[in-house]
Amino acid sequence: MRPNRILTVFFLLGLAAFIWWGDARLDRFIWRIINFGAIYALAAVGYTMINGVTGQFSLGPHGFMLLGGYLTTLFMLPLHQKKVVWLFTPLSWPFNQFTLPYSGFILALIAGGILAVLASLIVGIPALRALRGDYLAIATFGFGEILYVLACNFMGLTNGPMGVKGIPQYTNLKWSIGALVVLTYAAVRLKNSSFGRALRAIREDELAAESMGINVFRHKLLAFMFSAFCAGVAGGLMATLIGTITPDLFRFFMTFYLLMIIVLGGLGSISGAVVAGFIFAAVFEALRFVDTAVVPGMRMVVFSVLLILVMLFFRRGLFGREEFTWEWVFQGVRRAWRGAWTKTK
Amino acid sequence: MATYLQQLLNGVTLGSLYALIAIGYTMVYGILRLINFAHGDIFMWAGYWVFFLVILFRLPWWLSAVCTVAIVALMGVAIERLAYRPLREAPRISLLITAIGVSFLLENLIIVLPWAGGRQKPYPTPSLMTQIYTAGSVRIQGVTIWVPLIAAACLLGLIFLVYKTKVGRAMRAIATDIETTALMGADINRVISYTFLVGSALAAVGGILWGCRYPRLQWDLGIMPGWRAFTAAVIGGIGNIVGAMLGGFLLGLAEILIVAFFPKLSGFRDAFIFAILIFFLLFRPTGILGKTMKEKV
Repeated sequence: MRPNRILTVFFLLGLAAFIWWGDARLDRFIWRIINFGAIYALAAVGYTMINGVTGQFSLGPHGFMLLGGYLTTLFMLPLHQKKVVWLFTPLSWPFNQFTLPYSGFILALIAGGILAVLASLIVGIPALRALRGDYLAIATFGFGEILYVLACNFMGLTNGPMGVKGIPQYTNLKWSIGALVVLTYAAVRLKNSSFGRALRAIREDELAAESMGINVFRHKLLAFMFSAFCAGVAGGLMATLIGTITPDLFRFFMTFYLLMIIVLGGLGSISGAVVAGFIFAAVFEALRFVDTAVVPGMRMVVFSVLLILVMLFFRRGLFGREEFTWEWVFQGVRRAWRGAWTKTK
Repeated sequence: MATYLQQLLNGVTLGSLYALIAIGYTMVYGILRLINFAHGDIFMWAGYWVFFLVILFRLPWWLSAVCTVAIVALMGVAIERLAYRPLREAPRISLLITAIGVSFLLENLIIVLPWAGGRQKPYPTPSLMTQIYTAGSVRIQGVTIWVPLIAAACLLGLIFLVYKTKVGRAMRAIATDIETTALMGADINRVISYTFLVGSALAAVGGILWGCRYPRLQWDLGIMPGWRAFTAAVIGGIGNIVGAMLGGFLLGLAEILIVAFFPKLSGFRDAFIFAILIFFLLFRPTGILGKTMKEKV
């Protein structure tokens, strides 16, 4: 085995140990932040595949998260709680008939992801074929808003603006980081395959890519489906972490958060999205004091100023388009070592 | 018959408000190829400026309205100068992301401001606008008469500006081909500033009149009207000023008539707007007036 492989294996073993220890012992407050970080990172990995790697600007991940969140909820909510929540409008068939035990959680998450993928086909097949740039952004944004309006009005499935409460809180580090690791691995493999090279070719120059024989539409659509799947699973995890969902949880500001994350991480960098996802969750909590001590809403002012400043002066983000590699770490360590050496001399 | 007339007038009022906002979207898009996400929020700020000037500074209403137009127009110019101009050479998507950031900033600044806050505020409506005129069985509020009149005056002024003045000619030239226009010696940055000035001023007029029609101020007031106006701009063919006016009137009428005659559907109103928007983007991206464009390699 090459040394990089060994390092990766050690890293994963360490991560597994951390998850095992963290779920049992970690302070609940920090535990929650790490869970949120993993969920944001998961959605951001998918989002950067379409926005960063493929260069097709989507503004609809909040809609896909909404679908995943609600479907997972409908699968996992206990029957007695379903009776309590859907008081005025009865819950539609078939969800009033069954509920899944904890062992079915993974099915519920995957189902949420698949529903998001189906929705991504509805918007993606016409939109990715005909639109690009900001028109594509508007079409996907509009689709997300349509889903929001539907969620507010289809009381029989979503209980409308009142939302659903009492969702069993199944999400823990095992699930959130587990899903993140699996889907990040998939994303990295995709990005480094010939498929991923085609995506990057589309980002650089669509016409050139097409004349090289790349089926542009099919590649865009697959990247879009992958991003929708990630968003759907992230929505499901978020619903079962918070325990309460309303349509307002999945409004445009969610996409704004994800946009911040992928811009900060570097548009097109998967590892950047992961790192920035955790940073975002931590900073989001750390800045809570501004909301409570100064004035509610201040935090969002800080974040929007931050986004503008990053776009104006630091457009590369943390990672640019590069990925995290062990070689990069070695180089950093070697440079630091040499620097320390010359200084002591 | 009276109901029809009444609703028709309501539709024209709403339509002229949409037209005023849509102009800003369409002018900026025509010149910078940027969907100015912050435009709806600039519109929202106009309502708040009237509120600040009338309630806090105790200015008379007409003076606060005039000051508001000036302040909001300068806000538009400042936003372009600080947030959009440094990205002139950057990929267009960076510009869009920045615009989204500006939009969130404007919304949340209102929430944070001590005199505005997250709660709803009453809009100071002058008595001229609330007065009720009766003609036969039709009862008309002052707004229903004044809003379309003021809007029409502004739109005529705009058409004069764009088609009869030097700046207007420069705007149209830049919309056609920015590089050639720069080579011809036009000061691109100045003309773009003028574009934001005019677009934001019209949005301010729209915001002031909107407040007279719906006298509640809230931070998210600008979002949906902004999107409806943007849809109007797309319907009329984005970049096309006359088209934006036409689209605004069409959309306003359609909205009022649908809500009036199919009240059950009003909960889905926003979904319809976005469905229309997506439909136009997909099947008629140049709008009902626009010409087809070829992609440049």
